[in-house]
Formats: sequence, structure tokens, C-alpha cells
Amino acid sequence: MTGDRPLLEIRNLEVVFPTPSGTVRAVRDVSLSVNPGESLGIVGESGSGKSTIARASLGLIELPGRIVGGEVLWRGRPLTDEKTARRYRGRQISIVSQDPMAALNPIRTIGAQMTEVMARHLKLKKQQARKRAADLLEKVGIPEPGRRLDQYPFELSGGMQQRVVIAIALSCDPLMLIADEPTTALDVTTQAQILRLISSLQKELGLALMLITHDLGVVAGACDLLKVLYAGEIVESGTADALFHHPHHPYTAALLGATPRLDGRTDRLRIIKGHPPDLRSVDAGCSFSPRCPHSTTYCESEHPLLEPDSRGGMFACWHPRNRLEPRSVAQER
Amino acid sequence: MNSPLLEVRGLSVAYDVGREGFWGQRRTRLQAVDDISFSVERGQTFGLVGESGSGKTTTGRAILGQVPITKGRITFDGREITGMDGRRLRSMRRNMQLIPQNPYGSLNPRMNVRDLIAEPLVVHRQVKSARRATEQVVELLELTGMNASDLRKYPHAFSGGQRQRIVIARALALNPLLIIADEPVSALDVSIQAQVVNLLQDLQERLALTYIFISHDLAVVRHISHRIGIMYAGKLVETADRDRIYQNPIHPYTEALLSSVPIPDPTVERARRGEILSGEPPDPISPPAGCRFRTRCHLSQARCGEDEPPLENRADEHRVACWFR
Repeated sequence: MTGDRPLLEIRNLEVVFPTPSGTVRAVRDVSLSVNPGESLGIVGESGSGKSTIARASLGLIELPGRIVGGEVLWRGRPLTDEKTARRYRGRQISIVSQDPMAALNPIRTIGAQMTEVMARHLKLKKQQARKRAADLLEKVGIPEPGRRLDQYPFELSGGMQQRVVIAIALSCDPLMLIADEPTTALDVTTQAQILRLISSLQKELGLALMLITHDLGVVAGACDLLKVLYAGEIVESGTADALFHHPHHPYTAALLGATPRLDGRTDRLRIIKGHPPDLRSVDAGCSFSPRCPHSTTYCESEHPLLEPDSRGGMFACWHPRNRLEPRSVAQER
Repeated sequence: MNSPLLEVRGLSVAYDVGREGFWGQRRTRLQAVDDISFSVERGQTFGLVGESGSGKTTTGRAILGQVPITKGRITFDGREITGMDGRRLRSMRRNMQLIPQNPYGSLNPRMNVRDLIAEPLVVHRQVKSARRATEQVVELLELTGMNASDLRKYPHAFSGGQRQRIVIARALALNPLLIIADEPVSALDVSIQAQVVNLLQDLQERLALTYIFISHDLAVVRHISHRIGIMYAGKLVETADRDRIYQNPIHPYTEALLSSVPIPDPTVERARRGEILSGEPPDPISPPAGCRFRTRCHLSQARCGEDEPPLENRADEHRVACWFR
């Protein structure tokens, strides 16, 4: 199940949302790819564009949102084409989102919701589908799966509901799973269970995983590769080890400093002053410069582009941290 | 005055959640908080930690007198406030303020910043004139890192973090001794959360405030608390000084909770693959007899189902409710 051709490829994606007070540039020039079996973490705060990327990866950018540039390819085919997207969505590529109660239909039994997907995509007969549904529930760790099929979502706890959503996402043997804040609505012990379930399923089934979260702790254990989003752009990418231990971009470093930890120091948290920019009027320079401790006048006027670093990652900053060699392209003024 | 600012003894709170029986003659009771005791020292922060349904919010609301308590005693600043009523209670209440979780729901969208922050001053008749009220509001805004130029703006003009600063200013208006902060940073982004946590720490130092910091987030609680209480299914299962809880947890639930919190460090996370807690908290309407954690506990034995373990002092005010630890 490994190959060099990426499953999902996003090239120079631009997504906008027109609003009465101006056009929000939610995703700006984002490129990424996910290979078979790979786990990619996407980290960002509210409004960073992370969920828009998730939706674009499923061909689900809906009006008034519009893709105004770039492309989204699933094994080389454009997901921006609704017909193509419909063929793969839920079958080869599926999603687990934040709120299981919103993903499940409250007035239909779990069995009915699970078999519906299989009837549509796999053309299974009712008995076969039911059998498969019970097997899937067992696989995601739901006790007494046969009985659960006849229950309604409200009869299950949040953690169990999220397991059902995962079971539905797996029902057509997908190649890739997109998990958009899959544990944000859950308690911490349940979060640990669900994260472990996703990781073990990913390894066991050889799934590609795109895990989207605001929580650096969540991706630390689950993902090999990371991308950090700020104000709709990727500001840094690389291996989890590189980004957590020696971040180049000041935003990555600041986010790590602002995250309270169970281990380590208990004195004051390092803060990031100010707040994220208004995406209706994006400045010419680096979006992080108003909040960046290393910002210069150059940063305010010149937009840094992603450039490769020496360890296989990328960063977009004129004054990168943790680097021995000076920045090659631009000379500071 | 070295006595604790707040003492809670044997506090229980039950909610009526429905009726049973053909005629509805039996009430169904949900025991949200069951016989808990703790005290909070002056100028310190007591972190109250638990998952959804553990009773931590109810505990806070019972202290504030917002829910009727079924049993127990609460002593505040040397005086028992349970059973107190009328005027005296009102003047005590002024000394305790709440910072709620959701800064979007807790500010009236049709009031401007000046009126929002002045409201408690007016309600409690703490100011003589409108001009004096405005002056105080400006002081409070500056104290919480906002500007006097924000006075005439409405809540919608502010981000979540700024709204939470307004909520904090409002809570400080009456010069309280105790602030009960119920998940005050849970709705905020990490970068903003750190600003608010640091602000709360600064204010505590400057104004000698006492906090009860209610949260599900053990990492945030560790940064801000002096002492910590862990709740499970309406019971307090462990209380101790901050460092003892994190370095030397005794109750198996505390241990499980700590090992569930993801650490933002891939090296640490990969090495940590310990046992994680399975199962889910019990139904609060019919919790298991004996120890409530026994249904998920790896140490559970017959005794745990027969007797409920009391919260006992093990050493240095490190209290634990477990038969086998």
C-alpha cells in the first residue's frame, strides 16, 4: 500500500468567502500532498483556514465560499468537479468531524445510517450490510455491536457516538481519513481513547490520515508530518520532531511557548501579543509581523514565501529561528 | 487572619430530574455533588478539575448560592453563609464573583462596555454618581489591559479574548475577595488563552485575590493553581498541593487523567504509550455503590463495592479517597 503518487494533492489553493463587509480570504496559496499510509497533521487556531482545507479536500466548498485559484486532486482527478468528488467522497476519502451529534441523524437508528452508506457505495444487500456494520462497530471498540445497531444516537455517549462516526467513515474501506478536530468536543480520557483508536486503525488499515486540530498535544503523538497554518497560509511544515524541537517560524515557536504543558515549567506562559489579522484586508507583508517579536520594517512590507530548509521542511519567514546558515534569498535592509 | 477564606464541609447538591412511578409519586434525583469538603486559602488558587458531569460547575454554583444545597456547610471569610438570608447574604455575595466560560453568552449584546462594567456597581449601590461610575470603569478597563477608548463600544466589536477581559473587569468591579472562574479560557485559542491566564495571575498578585479555577484542562490548571482537587462523578477523590498532584498522584483516577493529557512533544508522546483509561463515567442517577470509580479501576476489589472510601489525609494535606492506595 505504498507508492510514490500522492493520494491527495492540493496545489496553490485559494478559497474566499464573500461577506457584506468584504471578501474573507480564508485559504491563501496552500499546497500540500498526502501519500498513501502517511499521517499529516494540520495545526492552526480559529480562522486559520484549517477546516476550509478539510472541506476543500472533500470537494465540499459550498456557496458563498468559492475556490478562486489552484486545484484539489484526488489521485490525479479534480475534486473541484462535483461529479468526480461524489464518486470518491465517503468511499475512498472520508471524514470524521468535531461534533458527532451533527454528523449523525438523530431520528434514525445507527444500523440504518451505517447500512445506507454501504448500500449506496458497495451495493450490499440488507443482511450483508448489517453484518458488516456490526463488524465495524466491533472494530471501533463498541461493546454489544448487534444491540447498538437498533439504538439511536442519543442513547450513546459522546465518545461512543464518535466511534460510530469513525465506523461509518471506514465502512467503504477508504484510502484516506480526514479527521477535523475529532476529539475537541470530548473529555480528556475519551479523547485519549479516540486518538489511540484513530492511530491504531491508521496503522492497521494502512490509511492515509489528515488530522486537523488546534491542539499541539493531539498531533504530537499521532502525526509524522506537520503543517502550521496562520491566517490562511502555511507558515511552516516539516517532521513533527523538527517542528516541535527546533521550529524555524516564530509563530510555531510562540504557539509552543503559549501551550501549557503537564511536564516542564510552571512559571508564566509566554504570550503571543495581539490577535490574528482580519482576513478581509490582508496586508502586503508577513501576516504574523504585527505579533512577531522578531519583526522588522522589511517584514511589514515584503511577503515571505515558503522556502525549503535543510531538513526537508519549509518555512515562510525573513528571520527564521534555530538556523545556523543565514537566509539565502533576501538580505535584510 | 490565617484562617482559610472559604471552607466547604460535606457539601451535597441534588437536582430533581424527573418523576417515576405511575402517578409520578417518586422523584428522580441526580446527585450532582455528594459530600465534598475542601478549603481555599487566602490569596491562593484552588483548581477544581474533572470531566463533564463530575460536579465541578455545580460546586462553584453552590458556593455562589445559585443552586440550593441539600447538605453541608459553607464558611466564607469566617462566617457561615449557608442558612444566611436577605440583606446579610447579599452583602456577602458581593465578595464572590463568577467568571463564566462563554464570553459570548455572558455579556448583554445591547449594553455597551461602560454600562456592562458599571452594572454591578449600580446594582449594589456602590457609586454616588454616573461620572464616578465611569471613572471606576476606566480604571477597571486599564487593570484588565483594555482602553478607555473602548467605553462606548458594544460586545460584538471585540474578539473572544477581549470579551473575556470585559467579563473579568465586570467581576472585579465590586472588589471581591473570591473569584470563581468556571472554565474561563476553554473557549479561547491557545495564543489568547495564555494572555488571559497571565492576566488572572497578575490580578491575583496585585489585588490579593483568591480564585477557584474550575477546568477540565489539567495543563492550564497546573500553571495557575496552588492547590488542586480532582472530582469524579460528584465526589472529590484527591486533593493536594499542585506539585504533589502532578508528581505524586495517588488516586488511580488522577493517574489515569494525567496519562490521558496529550503532551506537545513528539518524543515524550511516543515514549508514553501507557495504559489509558477505558470505559465511561457512571450514570449519575444511579451511580455504583461503594467507590464510584471502581467500574473503571484496575485496582478494584470486593471491598470497593461495599464501602465508600473516605477522603483521608495521607501526608501534608494530601487527601485521597481510595482503599488500595
